[in-house]
Amino acid sequence: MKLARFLLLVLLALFTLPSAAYAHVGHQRAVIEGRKRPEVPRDGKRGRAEVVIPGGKRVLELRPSPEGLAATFELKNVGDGPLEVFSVALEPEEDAPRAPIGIGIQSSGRETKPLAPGESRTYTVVWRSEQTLAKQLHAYVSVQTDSAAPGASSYDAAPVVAVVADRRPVWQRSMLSFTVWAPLLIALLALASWRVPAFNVRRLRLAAMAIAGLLGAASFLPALTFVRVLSRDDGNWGLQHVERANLGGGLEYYLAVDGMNVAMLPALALLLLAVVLAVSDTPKARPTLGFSALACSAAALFVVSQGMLLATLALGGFSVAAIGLIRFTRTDDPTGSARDRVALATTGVAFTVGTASFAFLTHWLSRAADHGRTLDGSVASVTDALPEIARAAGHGHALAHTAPRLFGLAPAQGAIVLAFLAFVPFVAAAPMHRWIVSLVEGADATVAALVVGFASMIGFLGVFRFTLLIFPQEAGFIAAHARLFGLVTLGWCGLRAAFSNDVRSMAGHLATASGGIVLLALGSLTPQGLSAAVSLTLTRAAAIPLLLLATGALVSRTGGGRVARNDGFLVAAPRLALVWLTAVLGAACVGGAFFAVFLSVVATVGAAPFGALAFGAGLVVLGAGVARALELLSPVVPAWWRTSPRFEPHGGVLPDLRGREISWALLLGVLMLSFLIAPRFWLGLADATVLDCFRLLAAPGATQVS
Amino acid sequence: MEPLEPTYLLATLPLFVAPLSLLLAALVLALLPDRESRRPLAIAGVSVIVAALVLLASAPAVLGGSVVLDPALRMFRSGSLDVLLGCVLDKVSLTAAFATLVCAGGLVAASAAKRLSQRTLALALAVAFGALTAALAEGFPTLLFGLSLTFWLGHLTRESEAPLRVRSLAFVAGLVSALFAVAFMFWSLGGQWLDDARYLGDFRARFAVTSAQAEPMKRPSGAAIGQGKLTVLSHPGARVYLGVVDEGQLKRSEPVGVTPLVRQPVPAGLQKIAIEPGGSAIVGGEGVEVALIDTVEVREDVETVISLVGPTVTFHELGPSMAAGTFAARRVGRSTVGVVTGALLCFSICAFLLAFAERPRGLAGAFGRACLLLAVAVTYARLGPLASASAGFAMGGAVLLAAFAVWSAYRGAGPWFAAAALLGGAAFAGAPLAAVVIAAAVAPGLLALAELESAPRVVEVATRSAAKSKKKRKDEPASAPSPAPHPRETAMPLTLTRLALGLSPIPLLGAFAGIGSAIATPFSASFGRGVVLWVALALTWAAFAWSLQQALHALAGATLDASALRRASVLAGIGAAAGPAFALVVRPWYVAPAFGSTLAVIVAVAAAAFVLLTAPLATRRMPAPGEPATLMAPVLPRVDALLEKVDLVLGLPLAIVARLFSRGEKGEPS
Repeated sequence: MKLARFLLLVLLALFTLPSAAYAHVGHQRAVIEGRKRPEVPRDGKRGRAEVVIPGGKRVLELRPSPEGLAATFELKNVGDGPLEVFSVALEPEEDAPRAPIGIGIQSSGRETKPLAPGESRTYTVVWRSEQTLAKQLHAYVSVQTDSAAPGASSYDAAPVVAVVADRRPVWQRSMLSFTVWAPLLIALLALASWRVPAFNVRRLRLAAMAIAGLLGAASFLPALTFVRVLSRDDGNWGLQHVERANLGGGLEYYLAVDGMNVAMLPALALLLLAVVLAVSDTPKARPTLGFSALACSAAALFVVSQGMLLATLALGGFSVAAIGLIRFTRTDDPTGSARDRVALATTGVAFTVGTASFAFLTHWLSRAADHGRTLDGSVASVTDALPEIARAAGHGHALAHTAPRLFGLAPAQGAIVLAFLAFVPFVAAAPMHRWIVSLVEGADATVAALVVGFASMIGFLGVFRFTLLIFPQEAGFIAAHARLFGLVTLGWCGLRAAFSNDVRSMAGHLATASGGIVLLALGSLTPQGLSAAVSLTLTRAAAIPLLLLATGALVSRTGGGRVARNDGFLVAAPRLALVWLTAVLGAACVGGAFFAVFLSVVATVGAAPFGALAFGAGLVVLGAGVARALELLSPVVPAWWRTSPRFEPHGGVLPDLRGREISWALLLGVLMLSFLIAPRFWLGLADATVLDCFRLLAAPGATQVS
Repeated sequence: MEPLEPTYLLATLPLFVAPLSLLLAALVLALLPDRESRRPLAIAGVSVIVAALVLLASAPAVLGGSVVLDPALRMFRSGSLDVLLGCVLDKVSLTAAFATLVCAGGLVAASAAKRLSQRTLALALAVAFGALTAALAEGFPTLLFGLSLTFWLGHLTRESEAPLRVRSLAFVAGLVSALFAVAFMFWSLGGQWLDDARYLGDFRARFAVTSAQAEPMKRPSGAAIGQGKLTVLSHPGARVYLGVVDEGQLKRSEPVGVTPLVRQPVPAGLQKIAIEPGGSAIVGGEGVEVALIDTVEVREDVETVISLVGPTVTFHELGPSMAAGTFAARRVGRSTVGVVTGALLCFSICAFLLAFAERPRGLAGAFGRACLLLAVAVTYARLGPLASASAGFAMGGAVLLAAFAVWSAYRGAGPWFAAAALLGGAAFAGAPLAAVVIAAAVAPGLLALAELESAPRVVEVATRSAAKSKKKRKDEPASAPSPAPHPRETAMPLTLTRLALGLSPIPLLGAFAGIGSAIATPFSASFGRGVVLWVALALTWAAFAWSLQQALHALAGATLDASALRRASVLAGIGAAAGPAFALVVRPWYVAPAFGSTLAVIVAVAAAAFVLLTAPLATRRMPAPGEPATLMAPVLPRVDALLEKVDLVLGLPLAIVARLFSRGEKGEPS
């Protein structure tokens, strides 16, 4: 019954939420043009143009040839009169080049005379791929002719040929899809274990660990095969590993990575593996937990992998899965039910606000922007559902002229407000910060770790893509608000952590406070700030789950969350103490992300020297919270342990971390350590994208803070 | 006399091996099962020896006036910020690193008798790793990271349950202030802020000739053209070309070397030198890689050094950058960068001081504190040039430190606090190397003192052993009672400790000399400041002596456990030898005077004032130091409740809606 209710909830979310929108940076590029066409069609008999791609395909796929990658298409005159061809060229683009350089179009026999009725001409599209770093090609060739219907006063729409090419090895072509969908395989196994008695929980655990391990390894492949120096000027808007497919009805499946999100995939996958390990350590791991958790992670991976066509849908899916996860894994302890309920309600409301705002934003954005094209070149007329439209809006020109006012504000500013409303809940910035604390206090530690870890990453990516990159001309407006949100979150949650009397609340506030640093770094609009934001996001994705899992492990041992009940485990449980120290310092960004905090301090001082001092005060307050958390590592063993029946089987002391617990702690700890000692590997992935964004946000010149 | 400009060398053995060996040993000890054997001690000892050998391989070059570089790894580059995980060995780092290893060696030797647990030993090595990282850091990010690592790991070695919040808050405040001071310095090396706080870059060339030592020798007419030496210092990966006229020629030419360090003999005369930064460096405002092509005059038999100038956080680039421009005079709003960084560093140094407010307990705890003292000293030494950039704040800071030190001595807070104040005073006085040498000299002595303070008194030992034997008699009547440790008077180790700690401020003579020269020129503008600084430093010194006197006085005449006395004697002996040895080898008195021109060294005046100030204070009896008060514990629940209420208001939108959905069932509280 529970499963049915859960599935119903998922289906409702999938079919009621509109989808859409993608944004990426754009840039000027020259348009290839031929002769100029007269204003109106000529009188008399007219030719009609028809494009024929061999094999009846809708997309021209380039194949290896002596010249590079090449394919031909045929232009046929199906009208009664002659058809004059004015230009066959890449579709003019207002901003960033979609297609990489090295594309040439040759006509058969180099003929230029008009096509007689029934006559056809062959054109060959050649991509000399050695001229560029891009490994994929997505382009639209527009054929401009004097094709017009008899008696019409205007020309027919120019036929468009969608051209694709891929020079990656075959095994790399579906990496992202595997990463996105693999978690659902575990979910299906969980479902099977529910119905098939032979496939018991033990086998499910093993299978889940195997799949999660495989996923963890596979998720590094996009990062390892990522071309680090490829910028948006090199084509495909700087996107790599693009996976597109037409779903029909104007819907398109679109996955890709750039420097901002490619490093997040392994981080998310390893977080998933850690959670699987933690779940499998639970004595009575409920299948619901496995199912919902993994559906949740798949949705999160989907959003992060720029599944922007279905971004709203995936975000909605994530919210529903997260809420379902909290709802269906409620503790059986009757005293905890009130906390459960608050956690569920607070998280549910926060995610609903975020998802609904995002749905509204993408819907509005799609309508306000120019139309785009789908994979096969058809015009994206279903405005609610197409990423190309929002991508066009991302160039920052379409909105200003045509879009209506929003909330009484200028269109761009209204949209920014919506974007903040959409993603501030996921970032857990004030005033939407309470859900993390409620969740940590009321839900299972593994659930909290999973949801908070994924949401923080989604939130950052959303804020970044749907504010700064879509509206670079409003960078100052965005930065000011990001800094304000960040400062309030950092200072306030740091203060709460410093005076918190409950370990779970303390951990929740520490986790929330560091989100403020991300926003402050982002708001500096400098390359250092953007790099710091990426680095901090990655580190938090490992550190916060580690902290929440460690908190769960501690509280489950002591049986209560009060600070006085949880201190003094330094000597008795050194492994737990080490994990606690690492996690607290990491979650507060003073340990694992030390260099990222250094970057963000440098960035904020460069951008706004006196405003940055408030950031410093916030960091000091956060430091007080860290000190409060570390006070638990007292070397003096509490007297009540010796008399407590809870610790009697362990000789009157708090038991240390066990085998499986060590495995998740080690996994997340090593991941966090890698951000600390090898930031070049992770930050290097984002370098080109950061520079691309920076050029949009800050005009070159003497006052550029770089 | 010391050379004015150091020469740079690459390390013969990778310097990062030194901290790495400590870290590896710590990991091995932490992971191995706890055993009652001497293996843990052997592992710890070997790691300390390996680290010392690595440093020793480069030490002669450092003592000869060179700076040894080991750019191990580039961390990241973002815009004009280039962060290296490199190591450097100069006099500051050599002193601090060896002092850390001396303390670690002393701890290992002492723990052979005391039987520190394997995990405690592992923790202590991890703390030493942090301190060594700070000591060898080649740049502010790594230095501050090492410092914070030392502080946070040091928490785990403490043996008391005193609350950490005040100490930690002070430390974090100091760390954040230092971070911001470095950030202000970084940007002001390459530009300044306009009145509306917008940054304006100055677009200077990133590479410049920063030194051409000595005057060229006069060559007889008709003699063959000799050779000069060209040294190029940069971040790793920059390519250096000779004889390249334009950028088009770059691709066809072979570089003569790749940085971090290129040393090349070249014919004297005008040379066309091109440097391609490499690695997508942003050296221009438009984010493009720009190669420097310039004509450089290389003089015969003279080393011409080209290094990076402008925004940097790397120490070896910082000197030329700061010398090339008056960064402190750059505007930031209505103020100058010198004033802002001075204020931040004044606050930072005072805040770090509070991290020493609590007295450490036990040998491991004291070791953690000693490492922190060394790491803080290195930080002061590196930040020193920034702190003394603003004379007003340097003077104010020194006075504040002196007041803190006297107050702490009066309250009986122990010598740790006063020692830290002394380091800060030396940094403010413009004698950063003196600060490090004082820390290196003080640390082993303070370890010995801590061992004496934590050693069980004979009465306690006797009571414990009697109770133990009584219990044993009940359980096992046949077994013989264990012999009580032999008690002994503390005279010898106390004398050694007094000697070690009394000699430790000798390096301060350099600072006194510098300041004294300012006092001796009464018509100079800095006369008043010089006097204030001089008196402040003397007072801090006196307060340190006073605290020391109190600590030793409390121990005088006590009969302590003989093995503890032996350990303390070893540590104090090491301290007594290490202080003068460090001072004589590193010679920290060759410092630039803080204010005024160079004149005669007024050491005699300094010594006389010191005696006059310390004598009455040292003979006065003070109350015994008490336990640190729990300042915040009683108010915490109330503050938490208040914050919860404010939080509800702040998160009102979410709270209201969530409350609607979170109503409980009938009778269930929501």
